[in-house]
Amino acid sequence: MKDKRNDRGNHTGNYGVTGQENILQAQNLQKRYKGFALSIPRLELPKGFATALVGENGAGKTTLLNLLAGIRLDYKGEINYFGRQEKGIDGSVQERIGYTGPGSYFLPQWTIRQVEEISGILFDNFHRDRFRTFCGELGISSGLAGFGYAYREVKKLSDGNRMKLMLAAVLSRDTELLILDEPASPLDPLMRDKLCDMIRGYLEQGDGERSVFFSTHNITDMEGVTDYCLIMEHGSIVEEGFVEDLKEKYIAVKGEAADAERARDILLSMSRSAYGFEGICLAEDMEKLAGMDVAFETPGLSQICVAVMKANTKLKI
Amino acid sequence: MLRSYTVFTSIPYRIAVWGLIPAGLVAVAAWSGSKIGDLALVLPLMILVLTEVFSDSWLFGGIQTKDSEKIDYLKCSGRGMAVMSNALTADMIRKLFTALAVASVSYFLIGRVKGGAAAMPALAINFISAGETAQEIGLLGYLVLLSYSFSVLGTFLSRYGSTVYINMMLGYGTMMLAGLAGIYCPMLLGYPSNSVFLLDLLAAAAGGGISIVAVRAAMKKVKGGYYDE
Repeated sequence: MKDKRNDRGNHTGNYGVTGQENILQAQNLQKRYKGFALSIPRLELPKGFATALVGENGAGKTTLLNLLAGIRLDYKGEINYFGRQEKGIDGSVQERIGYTGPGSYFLPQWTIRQVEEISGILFDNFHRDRFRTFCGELGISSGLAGFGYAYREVKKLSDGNRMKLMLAAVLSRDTELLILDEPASPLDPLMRDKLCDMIRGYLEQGDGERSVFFSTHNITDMEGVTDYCLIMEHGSIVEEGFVEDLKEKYIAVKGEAADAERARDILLSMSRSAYGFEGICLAEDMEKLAGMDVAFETPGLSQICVAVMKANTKLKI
Repeated sequence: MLRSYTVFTSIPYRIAVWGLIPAGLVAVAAWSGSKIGDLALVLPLMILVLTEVFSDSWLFGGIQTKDSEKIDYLKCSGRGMAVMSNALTADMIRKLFTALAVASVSYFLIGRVKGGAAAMPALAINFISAGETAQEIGLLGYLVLLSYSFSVLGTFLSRYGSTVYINMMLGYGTMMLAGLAGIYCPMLLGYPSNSVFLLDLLAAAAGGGISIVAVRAAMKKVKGGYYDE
């Protein structure tokens, strides 16, 4: 398998601390709500990769994605897109970004045909034929023959079909960055697999020029398409890195029940049963487990994310 | 502007609002005109107010509600707000043209069938045509502007609510007010008289003012999503 880290290809300029060329950089992002504050001193999204944004409910994922997509403009800080000299978002930047979000995205009384027509007005790079192909491929028209489906109203679509319609609309454009807020949540397992294929296809067709940034709670389903991962808690990014790096940084530990108490202080997260314990610890802390009857494994991204979230959550779990 | 508006309209909306409703109202005017004379013109213009309020739920229904639709898709594009503003403005112009078309065609037909079709000329009331030609046009203009103003007022208010009941109440309420103002205001000012032109000015000012408020309120709500308003 190709190691994606430091795979700069032919890109030039705009490199960040990740060692990669960035599609987007932000500094000192701040956004306040009653009882919540988003505060991100530095954010860099590597160019040419799929970046997952993971965090518990209320961590600030949607707020962050809204700021980056230009859906919210009341924030402090600077965002720099596509290595441009100008800071912030404008029409030309939005033309290069495809965003899907939860809740109120389309007007509920719009029909699928209207979504197509409106997309054609809003974006120069929208392709009607591609949109229709995606609508067919994604099964938005399933059960409704040709003419009928196009006149179905958005409010009459299921959550899953509404998400598919959003995806069809953004993927029908020639964009360089997709910002997808919880794209997998309303989809069934089959469509999640299709979503991963679509993201992969989008990146491959872009030949290193396209990037995807998506939030998800379905880490296991989306792990196959995730190159880089950001973990958010309480409005801040508490961990980030390429998946390969994170899997080297953390290690999964399995041990006997007798060692559970001693291991508890070393592990970031632990689950116990009558037969033993399982948990995640930093690879650099492996030596501290010396003398215990434990086995080590490479953790999955989901295990890492849950461990980091547990270590940072304010919830009493 | 026209394209921005038409993309907001579905095919059933176009068939109903651009075709069936005006045609139906003209038919109502012709039928009632044959019974009661040109006073019947008030009837289709009243019903037009009701249909405008109801049909708006297909178009911009509920966009000013507290937990309104923020229509994020429009905010994803640099043109989104301009498209929305154009669509709202074009809808106002369409409302005015619809009222004008319904009134013109209806009045023309009423003039043909008044009293004749029903063979009851004794019941015919020559309300509008009682004035001189200029006054007649002035009253027709007043009725058109009145219908337009109440249509815009009704749709503007109905966008704050998204339930059928609220729309019904507002639709019937504004329809009745339009009817009362259409008949009693000219009578109170002693029509036929040149005072009808004062009514024209008042109705034009009211229509223009409500239109500006309606577009600005809708845009403020849609743009508010950018800033937590």
